[in-house]
Amino acid sequence: MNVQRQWWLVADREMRERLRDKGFVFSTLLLLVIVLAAAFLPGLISGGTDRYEVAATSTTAPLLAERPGEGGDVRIEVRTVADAAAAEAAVRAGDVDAAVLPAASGAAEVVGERNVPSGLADVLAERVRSAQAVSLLTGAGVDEATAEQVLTLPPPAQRLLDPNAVDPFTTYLLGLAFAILFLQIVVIFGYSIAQSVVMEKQTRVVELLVTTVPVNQLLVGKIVGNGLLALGQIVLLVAAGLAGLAIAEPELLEQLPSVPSAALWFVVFFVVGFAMLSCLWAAAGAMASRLEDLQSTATPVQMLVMLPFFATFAANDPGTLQTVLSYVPLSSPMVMPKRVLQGDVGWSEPLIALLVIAATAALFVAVARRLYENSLLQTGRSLSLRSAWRRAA
Amino acid sequence: MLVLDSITRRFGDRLALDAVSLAVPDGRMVGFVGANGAGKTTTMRIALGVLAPDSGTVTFRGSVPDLAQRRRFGYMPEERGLYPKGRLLEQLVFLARLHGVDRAVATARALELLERLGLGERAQDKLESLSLGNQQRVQVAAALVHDPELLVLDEPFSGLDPLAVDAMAELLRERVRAGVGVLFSSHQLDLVDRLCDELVILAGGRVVAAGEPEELRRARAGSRYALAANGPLDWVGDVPGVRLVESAPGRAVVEVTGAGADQRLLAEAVRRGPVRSFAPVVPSLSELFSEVSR
Repeated sequence: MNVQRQWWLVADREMRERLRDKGFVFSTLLLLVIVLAAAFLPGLISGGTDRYEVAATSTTAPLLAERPGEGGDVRIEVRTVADAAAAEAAVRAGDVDAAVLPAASGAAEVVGERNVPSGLADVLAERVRSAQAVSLLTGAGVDEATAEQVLTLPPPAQRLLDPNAVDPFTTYLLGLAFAILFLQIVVIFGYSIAQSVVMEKQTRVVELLVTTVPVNQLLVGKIVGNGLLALGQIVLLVAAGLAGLAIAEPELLEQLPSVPSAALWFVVFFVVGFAMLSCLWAAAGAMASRLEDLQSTATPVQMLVMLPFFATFAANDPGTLQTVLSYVPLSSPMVMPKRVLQGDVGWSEPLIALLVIAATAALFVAVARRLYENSLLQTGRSLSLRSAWRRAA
Repeated sequence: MLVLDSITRRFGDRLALDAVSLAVPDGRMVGFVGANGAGKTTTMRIALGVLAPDSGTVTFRGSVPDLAQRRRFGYMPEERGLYPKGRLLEQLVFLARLHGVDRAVATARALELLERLGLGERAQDKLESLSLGNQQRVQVAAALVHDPELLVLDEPFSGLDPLAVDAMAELLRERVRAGVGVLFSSHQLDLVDRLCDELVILAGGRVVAAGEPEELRRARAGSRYALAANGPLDWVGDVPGVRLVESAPGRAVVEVTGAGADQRLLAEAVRRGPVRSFAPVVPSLSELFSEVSR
């Protein structure tokens, strides 16, 4: 068989093992649910009508008539009770959400148990005040139609100069979603590469493997196998997110036409970024000799993902820092898609950033390859960076 | 034939192998013995090309083996090595395919080997669900599944019950008859004695003895004789050219230092009474081993 296909056998085995792992399948489903929930839940929570029941006495019930032109999503059902005591009892029992009772000198009070829902309180206050105003005005000789007219004067109209401008909070959230996805998937699959390498060391399978597979091919196979699964997961999650947004928030996609292209760039950046980082995870795995050691050898690599992630928080808004971070190879997969989202960049900037990552990846692969090769058959203890680097010399 | 010629290897300041030379001819079974830390595993790793020697050469059938040739070697590492969570058949097929065997052939061979090793029923089980002895059998199958031309087995018999040893020995013998050279290490010296055609003894990173076991023993036997006869034997030390090594009633072991002294001793013994036996002392493999390893 040609040597070129060995890496594929390694990748193939890697994928089978991962796909057979129930934890992996479960975590993929969980992420999918989270992404869909993030797309749908806000609409579900903010939408809909709130229904309330309010108790009133025969004195206060007329004050609670629905106002003409009353907007909003609050529906109130008024239940007339015998007296104030009965109303308070109903509030205490939780039968009604609030009660409106007569207070001293013709005023009214809103009675709640622990609190009165703010949406309800606003509407009740408005109704009571309007009813009292109408009765005062008609008492002063104004006819009822005029009184109503006065009370329903429309507020001054708004005129927006750029009504379609994107809410910066939306781009912030989407950018954050990209960054979190990148971090999550790189760490999850990075760890699984490292674990798979250290498992082969720990079980000594690697001794058998290196007699027939060149170390390069072994490394490539691991990265490709896990990388394909990671890519599959990313594509699945991004597609689910986009589809969720398209259904739940269609107006958002109209306002932000750059979302799909940003998502596409994100996937491309993910692939190159993953290639860059995954080889380091493999090296970290090779430097450990047991799973327990992995924590310490993988920490530096983890930092290379975490620190850029936190750096992106300092670069939420367009500016010099954001521009710089969108070219720095470790942070660009998390920042450049966001700049695409903001509509700041064309296609050449992301392309340049990709080239920078690719160059870095070449360097990292060379370093990782050496660490990997030198450490692979050292089974005694975990190696320091220095001894792993030197051993071949 | 696999030939290692003057292989030297250092780990830091420690000289692990010092000019080790040995040969594994096709169709021969070569036992490889030595104390722990003598350098057996390092030698095997170098033979397989997993580890590079500092100096010296490894050749197989006359040339330095490239990867394609090394892929025709079968290896069983001392500390074993298979995926604990992998199914037996799947891992064997995976390993065979890595060695260049196509899937259909690999599957057929793996099944056949598992069958022969009494694990046919368990082909779809995970390795970790097997007993240690059975895991060991799978490990042997892993070394054989790509039908190698050379086998390098590090402690293939450790942990096996006598029946399993016999089954595995027969499996190996079969390969040897088919022309495969086998290099195997073991601490079970009687087993090595029984199985091997040739023997290499390693001590402190150097080959201290090599050859056919029978020959090695005869060479070492040299000047020692055991005499069994009736009556007291305290006189034997007085024969010129003979030194008494040990004696017990009816039996004495002597070292013959002068030419012809063995015949003089025998003549004297016959003169004194009936002699039941008189023969050169052939050391057992363990005696040989402890002598040369010292």
